Amino acid sequence: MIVLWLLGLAWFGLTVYAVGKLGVSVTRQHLQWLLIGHLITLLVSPFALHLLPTERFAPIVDAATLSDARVANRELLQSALRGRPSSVTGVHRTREWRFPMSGLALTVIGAVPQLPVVIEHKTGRDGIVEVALYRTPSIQDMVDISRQIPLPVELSFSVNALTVVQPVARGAHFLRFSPDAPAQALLLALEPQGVLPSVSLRGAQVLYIRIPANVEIKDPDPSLLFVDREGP
Amino acid sequence: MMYLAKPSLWRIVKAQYAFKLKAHIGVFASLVAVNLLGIALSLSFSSQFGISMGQIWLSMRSISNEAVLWVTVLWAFVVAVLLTTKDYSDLDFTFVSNCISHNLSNAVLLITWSIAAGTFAALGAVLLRLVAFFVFPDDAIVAQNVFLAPLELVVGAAVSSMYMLLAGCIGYLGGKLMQAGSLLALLTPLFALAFAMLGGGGEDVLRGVQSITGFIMHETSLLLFVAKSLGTAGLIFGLAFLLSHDTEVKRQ
Repeated sequence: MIVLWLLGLAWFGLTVYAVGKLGVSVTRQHLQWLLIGHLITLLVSPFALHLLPTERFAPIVDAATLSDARVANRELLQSALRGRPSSVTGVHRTREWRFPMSGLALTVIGAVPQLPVVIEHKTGRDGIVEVALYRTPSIQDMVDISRQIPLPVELSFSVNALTVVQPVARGAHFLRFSPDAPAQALLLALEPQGVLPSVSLRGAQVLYIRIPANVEIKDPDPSLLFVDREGP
Repeated sequence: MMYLAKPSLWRIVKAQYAFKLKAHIGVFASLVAVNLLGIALSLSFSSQFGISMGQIWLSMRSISNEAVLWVTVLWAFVVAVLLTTKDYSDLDFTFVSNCISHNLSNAVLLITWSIAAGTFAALGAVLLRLVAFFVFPDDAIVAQNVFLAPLELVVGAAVSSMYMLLAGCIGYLGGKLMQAGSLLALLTPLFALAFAMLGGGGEDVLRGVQSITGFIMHETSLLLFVAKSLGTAGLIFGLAFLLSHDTEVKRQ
């Protein structure tokens, strides 16, 4: 921002210098063009705003979505352990991997805090390890920030070893606009709006690994969880 | 008095207004500069807070268009004061003029400038959002209050115009006070200060000012808001008119 200010000041200084040096006088016509140009910019900006890419928008969630997200947050692991991680409303499969393997033993290396790893044996023997990351929405002050939060894991697969790597934590930056100040009081009277509740919900995640029926996990880490289809 | 055609007051006011509007086109140029300055200030002084969500750090920047509004209000005040200065009022001698036509044409001019400034301030809020999108390319935009509905823009422009008009009328009264005599201009703030000190302290004055501004600014009906604003502006302008009513044409 300071750079922008400096650039603006430099531009202003250069303009004043150039006008003085070249002996250019600001005529009425120049002022009229300045005014017309600015007016057109102002009038076009409401339409231009609608042309901006929507990928950068973080949606606002309603009370029902928040409620679903809370339930999903609680139920994700349990439903994953029953072999149905996506059965709960609000759970999204955000990423998938497929690794072909040869051999009958798979090693799972690495443990990421707050990321349960659930393993399911497939019925078939297709020689493919399928991995999927399931997550529930992360919500801050009724803003769904899931898309802006970087995925917490990366996977690599070599010589029948699946390695789970936690990437370096990054920050997520958000920009929020206040309501139009002068119109606020009058419009609130016309159409009362509630203040967004201060809610902070960190989404839950599960790494779900499906291995062929004839493959076993070699030296399983105690943190690994296995699907129990007979469970509740 | 000898004349070929009977001059009508409204014709003179109209001619003076049209002439002043064209002559003072620089005022609009300064409005453009103030509008851009307000946008730059809004972007520079945005509030920001951060929270930690596990290993992830979230920062939330909040941008308001209040700076655009208040910088424009200040502009309206300054321009209105300038309108009472000698350089500006001497333009009236281009036409047959008296103090009524002089003040009326100035009133219409102030209304025009206020509407222009209010519209610029309201649309400036949209331009601010557009500029912010490019100035902060790494930030995700919270999808709330981004798109201003046409009604919001119209109400925003109307309310801003009223603020501009009030500021303009106060500035005009201030200018007329200074013109009426430097002693009066000097004594007015001294009287106000003395009143504050003797009559229960500054808190009472502050409370009084707050109740006056609250009377207008906290109004929740648009019609009542406009009526109150126009009434107050008319009252202030009437005072300014009374101050200059008895002065000679050359001293207006």
